[in-house]
Amino acid sequence: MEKEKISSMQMGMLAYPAIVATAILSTPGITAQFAFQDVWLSPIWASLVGIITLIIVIKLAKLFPQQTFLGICEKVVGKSLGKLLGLFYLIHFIQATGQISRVYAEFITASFFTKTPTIVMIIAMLLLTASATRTGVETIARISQVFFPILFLSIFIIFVVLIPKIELTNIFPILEKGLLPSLKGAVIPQARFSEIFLIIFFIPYLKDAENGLKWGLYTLWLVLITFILVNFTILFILGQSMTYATYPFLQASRFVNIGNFIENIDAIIMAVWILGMFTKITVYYFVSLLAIKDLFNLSNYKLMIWPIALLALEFSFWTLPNSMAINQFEIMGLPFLNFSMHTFIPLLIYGIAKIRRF
Amino acid sequence: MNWGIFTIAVIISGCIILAEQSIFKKSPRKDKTVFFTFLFVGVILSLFDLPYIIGPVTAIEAFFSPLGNFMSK
Repeated sequence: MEKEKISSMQMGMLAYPAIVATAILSTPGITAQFAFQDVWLSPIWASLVGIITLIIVIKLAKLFPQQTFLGICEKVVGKSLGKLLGLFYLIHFIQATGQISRVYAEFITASFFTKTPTIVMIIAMLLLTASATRTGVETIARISQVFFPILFLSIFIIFVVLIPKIELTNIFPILEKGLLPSLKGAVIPQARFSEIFLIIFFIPYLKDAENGLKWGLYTLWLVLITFILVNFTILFILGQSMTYATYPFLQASRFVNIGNFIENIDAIIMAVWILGMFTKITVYYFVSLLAIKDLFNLSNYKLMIWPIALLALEFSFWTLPNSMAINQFEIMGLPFLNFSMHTFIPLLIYGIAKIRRF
Repeated sequence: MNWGIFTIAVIISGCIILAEQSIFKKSPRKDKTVFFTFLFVGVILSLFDLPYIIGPVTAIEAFFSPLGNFMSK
């Protein structure tokens, strides 16, 4: 039993930025490269992966109450295979922490701090998230409780203030080339939806675990609404040019002009996004620490905070020399990796558990 | 080999060991072994020119290349 406790609602508020933060900036642009004007449909298909992942997670948590995911793996597939799987998960989480920190740093240095080296941004973020993880899950949950409404409302407000500029005809022709482009586009956001899997690491901390599924579903609905809002915004404002934009939502927000008085709200996007990214990196960082604690049966994860930060910093650059390589990885590797690690393997574990009648 | 970054990584590791002294003294032997192993891996990795060598990202892209190629079509 974990001593620290959070509520299911707080868990949902942790999961929301953990999914949405990376999804609102670069993901819509990449999705648009495949789905074109059907970009708004892709998140709807992709959300199915999120729902399936959530159901698997909740079923596993019910089958093995108060157990961590790596513990479940060891129990179901045996100690040696379970440990090997745990090692893969640990590397995946550290790599994800590093890669997300890099995406954050690349965005900040490309759009705002053009003269600051990327590594400075990564180190600053890792120092901050390391401090946050040291305080424990309750504090992380409370931080996300503060950040969640700011993140959600800002995206909503940006959409509302852009309404006068929207060009509804950009949506046509709907399904011009059939369903395939929007389904192909859905491969990118499904990687984000599958991140709902991370809640399995927080379920042992829940004081009201019976509400886990309910709040998980609320989170997925909110994520879906956010995705659709963002994709509609870029489609209605940028039209076909959204496919060329690296950060289309940021570009669309530059069109805001209310009475020649309220302009340049892209800085708000950056501020809000930093809040979201901070929560996302903290969640991945914390999950890495929980994974290492489970894998090696450590008494406490706190000793491992700084070694993980050093490794995450190195992973953030490993085989990723520039933002082109990161983009390539986000199309060619990440969607399938996330699906395998967050949806397929847990499904397999659940299937084996059922066959072995746990 | 990048000896400049390696030196910085060694200094950072030293700082980490010093900063974690209070937790370190109370931790069991297993925790200390894992701590030093991960720190050691971090220091060794700093020797390489990481952005330009193969790594987990290469392995992931190679493993999923049939699916990745479908996306690039």
